[in-house]
Amino acid sequence: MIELLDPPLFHLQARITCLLLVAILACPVHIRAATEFRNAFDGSILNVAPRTGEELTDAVLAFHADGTNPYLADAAAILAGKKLYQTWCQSCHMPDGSGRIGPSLIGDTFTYERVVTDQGMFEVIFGGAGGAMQSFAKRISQDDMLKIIAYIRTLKK
Amino acid sequence: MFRHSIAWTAAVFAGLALQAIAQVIPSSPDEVARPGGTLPGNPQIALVKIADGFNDPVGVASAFDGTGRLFVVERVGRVKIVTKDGNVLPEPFFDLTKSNPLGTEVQTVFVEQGLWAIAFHPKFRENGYVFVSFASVPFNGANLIVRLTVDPGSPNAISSEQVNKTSKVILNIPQPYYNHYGGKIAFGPDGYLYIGKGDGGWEGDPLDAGQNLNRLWGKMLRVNVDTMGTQAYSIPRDNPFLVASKDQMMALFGITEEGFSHIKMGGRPEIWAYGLRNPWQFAFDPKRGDLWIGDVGQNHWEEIDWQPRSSKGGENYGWKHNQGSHCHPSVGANDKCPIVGVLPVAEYPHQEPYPGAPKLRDGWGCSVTGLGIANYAGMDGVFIAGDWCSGRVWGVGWDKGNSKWQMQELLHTALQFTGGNHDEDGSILAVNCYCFYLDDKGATSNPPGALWRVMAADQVPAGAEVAKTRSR
Repeated sequence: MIELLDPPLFHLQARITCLLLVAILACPVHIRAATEFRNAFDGSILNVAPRTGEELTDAVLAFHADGTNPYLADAAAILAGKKLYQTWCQSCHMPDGSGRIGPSLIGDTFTYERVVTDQGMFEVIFGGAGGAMQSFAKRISQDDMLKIIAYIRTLKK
Repeated sequence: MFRHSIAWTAAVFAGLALQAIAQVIPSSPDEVARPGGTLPGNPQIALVKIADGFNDPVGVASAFDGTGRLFVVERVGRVKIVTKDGNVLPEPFFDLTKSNPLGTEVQTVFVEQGLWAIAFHPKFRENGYVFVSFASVPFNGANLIVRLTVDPGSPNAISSEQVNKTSKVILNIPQPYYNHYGGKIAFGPDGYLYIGKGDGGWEGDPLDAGQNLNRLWGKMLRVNVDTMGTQAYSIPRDNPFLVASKDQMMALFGITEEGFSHIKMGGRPEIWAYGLRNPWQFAFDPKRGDLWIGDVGQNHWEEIDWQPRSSKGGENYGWKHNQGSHCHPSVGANDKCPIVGVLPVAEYPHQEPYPGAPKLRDGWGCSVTGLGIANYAGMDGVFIAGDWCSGRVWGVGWDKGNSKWQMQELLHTALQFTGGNHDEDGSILAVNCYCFYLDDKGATSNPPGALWRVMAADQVPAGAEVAKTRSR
């Protein structure tokens, strides 16, 4: 297992190194991104390595680097995020994000304080939290998670 | 001698007086416990993993036969045996997906459907009777409660042939919608089989099932399964509505209005208690015999009901007029409505306790799963409930010192609780799944769930896996 540490550009180096190694071995990757992602529930470090067959997009790589969601002002991505939200999220969090089975995603008071940032919301979606909020890491791509977050932020009241 | 008699009599009356202020059902909403309380002794618990790898586990039971085996119910229609040392036997105890040549017996299309519960006859060691409750494919989604018989020569496996040979349908309860079946079945200390029935589904109880004594939905049922021959069940003679609907000649004179009010024309004699929305899990206190019900709420409140062993039945828990001690439908902070029937002893809110309420950050959930009653780990008659949505674990118990019910959050876990029961030693068992309304890939394709035991935090064995809890 290869563990790649924090400084900027290491992510790119990781990918290059991985590509070089991939011909030799399966290159299982444990990525510790430039931005440190933590499980919102217990604070443990999240391994944000892509799932099998997932290609990390430029948006995801940028997000890993500095925790900023590139899709926040991207109308096409927000529209895609809306469709994804309707599929995956709204039955618990309601169409307007006000919450029912799952907590409210709008306003300023969040069950998990870190959700106030996109990084924190990503941590909950990717890593899961308590009870029914399971990890979506094996269900949807990280790129889709960023699109969902971008859409949720448009619901903010 | 006479003086001693007076002293003894006084002591008896003092005892009765004390008993009178012992656990009581709340008489007003302000006596209902809510999160934020502290149980006597402030118990500290942990959830210790016994075994994992189960497909959508939704129930668990002990046979109380001295073998230490635990039987984990997989929603798809199988039951797995966990041995005393924590090993999961590779072959299921039985498999209802293979007993019918036309396909599975068990309807699992919706996540609230499936095989839900197993209960062992109190004399299981002698008669080998096992009772199961599930949503049936051949009966178009109806809730079937069926008795199977274990072949003594094959104590760990009821073959498909044996299933078909020994199946005796106890109840076949049609289901109007695909949710709110209830699910749990269990024998009470009186030897009767209790059945938690949901209100039949949809939302808001559109059939008025909870209050309609002509329907089995929205009730706690109580039947006698110790019948002769092909008779499916009989009605215990002390069921509260046994003769409530007795046909008789019309008699208008000499009957008081109160007397008329007791006539429940068409009432079903199987009913033990009513006014329930979805009593998904319930349990009897192994020490006292009291019945505890976790009644899953709708949009705003989860309800925990308690009745002492001395109950004569007939309690009305208020659905759909009330959710917990609150109005249904809830329209705002200052709702006014009558409290119908019996109040719960405890309740906990959803994130929004009423429409438009400020969102709660802590102390909320959305679907109560009763696990069992703890008489250990510093607890005495404490009902333990896990929340399916939030992973919180609450304890509800009577605080003798303050003569009130207390509700304390004991853990905040990441687990999605689905069921619970008691082991032979009285310890509480819990199962969690990763089954959900969304992305349900079928009852065998979700990530596997696990079986846990509630233990005193300072009694966790070295090296044991403990459910992770939230750090702040």
